[in-house]
Amino acid sequence: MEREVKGLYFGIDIEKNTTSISYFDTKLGLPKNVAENENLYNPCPIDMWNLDEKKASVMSHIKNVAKKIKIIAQESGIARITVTLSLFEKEILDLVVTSMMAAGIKRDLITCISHDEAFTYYAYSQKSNLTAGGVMMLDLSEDGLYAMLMSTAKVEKTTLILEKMIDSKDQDIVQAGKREIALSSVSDKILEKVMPLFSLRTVSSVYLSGTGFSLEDFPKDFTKVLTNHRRVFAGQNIYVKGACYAALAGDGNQRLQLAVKHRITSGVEVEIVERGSKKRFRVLYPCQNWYQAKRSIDVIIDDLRSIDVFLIPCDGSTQTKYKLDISDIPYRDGKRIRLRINFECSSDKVLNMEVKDLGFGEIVKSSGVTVKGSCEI
Amino acid sequence: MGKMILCRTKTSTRPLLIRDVGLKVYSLEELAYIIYNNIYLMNMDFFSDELLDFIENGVGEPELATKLAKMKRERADLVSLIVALLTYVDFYTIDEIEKIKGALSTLKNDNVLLRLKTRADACFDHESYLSAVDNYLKIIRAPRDPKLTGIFYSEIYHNAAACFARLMMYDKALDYYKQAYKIGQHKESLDCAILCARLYQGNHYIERDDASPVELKVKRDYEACLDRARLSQEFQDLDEIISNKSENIDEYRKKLDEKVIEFKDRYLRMNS
Repeated sequence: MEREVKGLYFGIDIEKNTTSISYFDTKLGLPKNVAENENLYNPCPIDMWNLDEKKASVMSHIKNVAKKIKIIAQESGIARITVTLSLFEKEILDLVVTSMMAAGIKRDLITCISHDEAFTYYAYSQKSNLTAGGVMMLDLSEDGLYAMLMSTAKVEKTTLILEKMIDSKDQDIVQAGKREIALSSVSDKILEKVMPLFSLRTVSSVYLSGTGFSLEDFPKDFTKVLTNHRRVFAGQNIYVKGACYAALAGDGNQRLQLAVKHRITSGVEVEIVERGSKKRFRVLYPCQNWYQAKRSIDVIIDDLRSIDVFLIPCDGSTQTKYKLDISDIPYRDGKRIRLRINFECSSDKVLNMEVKDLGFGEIVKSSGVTVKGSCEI
Repeated sequence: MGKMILCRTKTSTRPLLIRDVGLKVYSLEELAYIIYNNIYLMNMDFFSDELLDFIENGVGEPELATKLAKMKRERADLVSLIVALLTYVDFYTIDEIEKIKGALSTLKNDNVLLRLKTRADACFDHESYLSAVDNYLKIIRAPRDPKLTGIFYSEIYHNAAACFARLMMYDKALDYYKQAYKIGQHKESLDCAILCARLYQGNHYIERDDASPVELKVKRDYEACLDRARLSQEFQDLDEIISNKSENIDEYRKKLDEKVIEFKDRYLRMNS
C-alpha cells in the first residue's frame, strides 16, 4: 500500500559555512535539492553559533531558511523537517529549533540528526545490493578526514546498523580538504587511515563527500583501491538528502535501528507496579538520537527511597542498573507522593534524570525538593 | 518493600472540589485517596454530574466516566460505584480495597440517619464545619425515627451547636445547645450554652452579681482557657512577630501577612 503523504518532507543540512535544503519529490520518489545557487551562506562558521554576539544573526539566518521552506510548502504544507548539522551540540541544536519555532514552525515537526545519521538514512535508502556488505563514507573537508563504516547486525528480531569511524586531523589531509594541496599527494595517507576499516568487513559501496574530493583530479591508484569490488559514489548533497530520507522515515516502526554515533544504544526502563504486579516500563527506546531522547513521567511512590533505572543495551548484552537515591524527598505514608521524573540525554553517552516532588494535590503540598542524577548510558 | 506506580492519567487544570472534606482534587489518584480515607462520607450525591465531568474532561478518562454513568442509570448501589472507581484507578491494590470492605458494607446496611451522623462526624473531624452542620441539620429536619433515642438527637443538636460555635456563629450555637440540653439534660450542653451566650455578647457582656454556681464555673473555665491560650505556641508566635515589629518592619509585615493567610485558609476550610 502506498504511503499517504500529507505535506512535504524536508531535509536541511547545516554545514560549517553553508546551509542547504531538500524536499522529497513524491513524483520522482527521491529527494530533490533546492537549487544549489540557492544554498545559503551561514552568517558565521557553525562552531561560532553558540557565541552570544552571533546568536541574533544565526536566528535570522535560520528564520530565513524556514521562510524558504514555507514558500516551497505553501500549497501542500509541511509534513516534517529534519535538520542535520555538522556540529551536533545541544546549545546549537536548541538555537536552531527555537529559531524555527520563532519562524512559525511547530516543534513536533522538527527533528535534528547528526551527519552520521543522515548518511545512514541516505545509504540505507538505496538499492539493497549497495548495502549488502558494509557501507562507507569518506568525508574530506577543511576539518580533515572523517570516515564512517556502517554495517548491519541481527539482534533477535531487530536489524541494527552499527558504526565504526575514524577521524583524522592530519595536517596534510586538512590541507587537501581545503584544496591547498592536490589529493594525489595525500591519497596514500588517506588509504593508510581507512584501510583498517576496509579490513573489518566487505564493503559494498563507498560514498565520497566534502570539498577535498574533486573528481577532476582524482588519483588513479586511489580510484583503483576504492572501486575494488565495490561501487563508489561521489556527491556533495548526501547529508541533505539523508536528512530528507530521515524526515520521510519519521520516528516509528523503522525496519532498521540505527546504533550509530549520536544515537543512544541502550533502552531505559524503570520498575513499576501495575495492579499489584511488578512490571518494567520502558521510558526511552534505544537507537534514538540523544537530542530527541527525552521523556517525563509522573509516578506515585510508596515507601521508596531510591529508584532503580535499568539500561538495556540494544545489542543484547547484559543490562546494568543505576540506583537513583531519592531519600532527600520527605517520606509520606499513604502513597501521598507524586513525583515527576524527567529523563533527558546530554550526549549519546550521558543520561540525566531529575526527580521533582509534586506533593499530592491539596492533600499534601510539595516539599519543593528536586533530586538530580546522571549515569552513563 | 517500596514500589512505584505509574500515573497513566493526566492531572486536571480544573480541580474538583470535594465539599465534605474541603479539598480540591486534580487527579484520579487524589480522588481515590479521598474516597478511601473518607469512606463514611460517601453517598450517591458524591457521584454527581460534576464528578463525571471531572473524570471525563478534567483527567481525560471517558471510559471510566461512561462506566459510572451507566452504573448510575442502572441504579447500581453505592458500594459498586465506589469499588468500580477504586479498581479502575491503579492506586489501591485489590488487597487494600478488601480491607475497607467492612466500612463499605455499613454504607449498604446502616440506618440513613445513622449514616448521616457518621458522615457529619467525619466532616467535623476534618474541621469541615459547614458540611458537618449541613448533615446534622438534615437529621434534625428529617422525620423523627422512633428507633433512635433521645440521646441520639441530643447529641445531634449538641454537635450542630459545636459546629456553629467553631464558625463563631454563637447565637445559633446557643439555640442548638439549649435544644440539646432540653432533650438530653447533659450538663456539658448547658455549660456550652452559657459560654456561647457570653461569647455572643463579646465585650458587651455584663457580669451579674447573682450568677448561678453553674455560670460562675463556666466563667472560671473560660478565663482559665484564655490564660492557657496566652501560653499556646500560636499566641507566642504572634507575640514574637509583634515584638519584632520595630526591628524589621518588612519582615513583620511579611510574617503577619503569612499568618493572616494561614488564618484565612483555615477559616475557609472550616466553612467548606
